[in-house]
Amino acid sequence: MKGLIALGTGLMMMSSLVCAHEVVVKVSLSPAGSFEAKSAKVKGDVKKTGNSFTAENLWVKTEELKTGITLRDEHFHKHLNFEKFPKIAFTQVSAADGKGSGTLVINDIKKVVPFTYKASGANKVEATFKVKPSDFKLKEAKYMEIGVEDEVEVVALIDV
Amino acid sequence: MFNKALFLSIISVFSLFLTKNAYAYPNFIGHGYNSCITCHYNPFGNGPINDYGRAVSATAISSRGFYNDSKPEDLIGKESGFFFKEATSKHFRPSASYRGLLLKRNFGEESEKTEYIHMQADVNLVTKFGQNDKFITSVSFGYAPVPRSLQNTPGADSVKEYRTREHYIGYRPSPEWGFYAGLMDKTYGIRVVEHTSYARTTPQVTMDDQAHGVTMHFNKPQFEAGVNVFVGNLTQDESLRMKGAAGTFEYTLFEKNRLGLSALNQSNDYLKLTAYAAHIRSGLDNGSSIIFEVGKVDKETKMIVSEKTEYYANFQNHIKATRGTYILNSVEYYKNAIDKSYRVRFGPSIQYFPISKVELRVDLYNTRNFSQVVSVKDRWDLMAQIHLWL
Repeated sequence: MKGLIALGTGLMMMSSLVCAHEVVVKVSLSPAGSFEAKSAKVKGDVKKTGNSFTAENLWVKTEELKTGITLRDEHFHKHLNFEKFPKIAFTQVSAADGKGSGTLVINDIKKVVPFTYKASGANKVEATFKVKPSDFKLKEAKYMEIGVEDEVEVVALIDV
Repeated sequence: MFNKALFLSIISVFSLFLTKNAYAYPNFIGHGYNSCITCHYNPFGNGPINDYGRAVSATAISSRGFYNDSKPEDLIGKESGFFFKEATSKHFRPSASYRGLLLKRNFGEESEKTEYIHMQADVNLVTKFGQNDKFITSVSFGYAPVPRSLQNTPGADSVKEYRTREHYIGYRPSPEWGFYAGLMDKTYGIRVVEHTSYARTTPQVTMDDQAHGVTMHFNKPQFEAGVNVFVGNLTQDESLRMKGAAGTFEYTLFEKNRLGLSALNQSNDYLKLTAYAAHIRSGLDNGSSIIFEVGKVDKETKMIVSEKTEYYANFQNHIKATRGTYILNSVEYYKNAIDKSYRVRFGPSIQYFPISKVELRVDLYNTRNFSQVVSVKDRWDLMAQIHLWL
C-alpha cells in the first residue's frame, strides 16, 4: 500500500565483539512533524587500531527498524523494499579522527556516504550522517497527503 | 464516602496495573507530531482532523482489541474516514462530533450533585482545493450549551444553543506559510482539551472564546509561530466583543520538545486583559509526553475601575499504558495576587479509545482552596466523558 510515512536508511559501525549496535533513523514529515525508526539489532564486527576503526560489513534487517506505530512500520519497511532486499548494509567502513566513510546499501543501490563520529562513553562512539532516499531509488513516500522530506538523518551508537 | 473510597481504590489499582505495563508508545508529540498541522486542518489544533490524523487516530491511538487479529492495519486506516469509509472525493471532508459529560460535583459528599451535559454535538464540512490543498474552508455548526457563567443571566439571551464555534477560510501558498480568516480560537498557550483548565479559563481562551479575525501561521522544523488579530465574536453584542491580538512561538529542542512563549492582549467595553505565558511540550521516549504552562494575566475592569493580577500553572503528564489506553495526571495552580488566595487542583484520569472514533475518559479532580480570609473545604469532582465522531 502507499508508502506511509517512511523512509530512511541506516546503520552504522564498529566493534570487535559481535554485539548489537543501535541505530536511529530520523525522518522529517511534510508539512510538519517527524518520527524515528530505531533498532538495537545492528550486527557486524568493528576493528579498532589505534584511533582508527574499520568494519567490513554492518547490517540490520529492515524489519527490525521500528517506528512505534504498526501501520507506519509496515509502510516504512515496504517503502524500503524489504521483501526483495531485507537488509540494509554499511560496508567498507573506515574512520579516524572523527571522520569516516562507508558504502551504504539500500534497495540494492550502493552509495559512498561520509560520516562524523564522536566518543560516547568509554566503549561507544556515536556516528552521524545524512542521506537522500531518492539517491537509493526509493519512491516519494506519501500517506494521506502527508509526505516525507528527501533527507534523512541517521545516528548510530556503536560498541567499540 | 464509601463510594469515593472504593472508587479511589479501584482507580489507584488500575493506574498501577497499567503503569507497570506501560509500553510507552507515543501520544502525539511523543510520536513526533510536534506540530498540530500534521493531523488537523487548523494549524494550531482543535477542530476537525485531516485524513492523516484520522488514520493515526485509528491505527496508533485507538486500541485494536475489538478488531479481529487478521484485520490489516491498512484497512483500519482506510475505515477511519467519514462513516467508516475511505474518502472518495478529493475536495470535501464532512465530519460529525459529539461530546457528553457526566459530572458529579462534590463527589462522595452529602451535597453531591449529578448532571449530564451535552458539551458538543456538531457537524463540520471542510473543503479543499488547489495544489497541495492550498485553499481550504472549514465550517462547524451544531449544539453547544450556554456557558455556565451566563446561565440564568440576561447575557444568556445573547448566546444561541445552536451556533458555530469555528468557521474560516485558509490559504497556504507553501508548506511553511498559512493565512486564515474567520472565527477561530486565539493563538495563545497550549490548547489543552480540558477547557476548564486554569490555563484556559484565566486568560479567557476557552471553549466559547473564539473570535473573528485573521491568523498567520509559519512553520519550520526548528520553530513554529502564529499571530492572530481579532475583532471579537461578531455574533455577540458589540460591547462584549473582545478585540485584540495574540501570538505564540514555539522552538524545537531535540526533536520532540517544544519550548513556547505566548502573549495576548484583548479588551471590550468592560474588561482589558493582558496575558503572557511560557510553556514546554515534551515527548518522552516511546511516546508518552508531559506539558507544562505557566502564565500571568492582568485584568482591568472598566465600569468600576479595578485591577487584578492572576497567575496560573498547568502540569500534565500523558502516559501511554497500552495502545488505546492513556493515564493522565494533572496538577494545576491558580493565584489571585490581590487577596493572595490560591487554588490547587490535581487528579488522575484514564483515557480509553476502545475503537476508532470512540473516546471514553474518566477524571477525578481534587480542588483545594487556600485563603487568608475564608476556609473552604476540599472538593472532589468526578467526570465521565464520552466522545464520538464520524
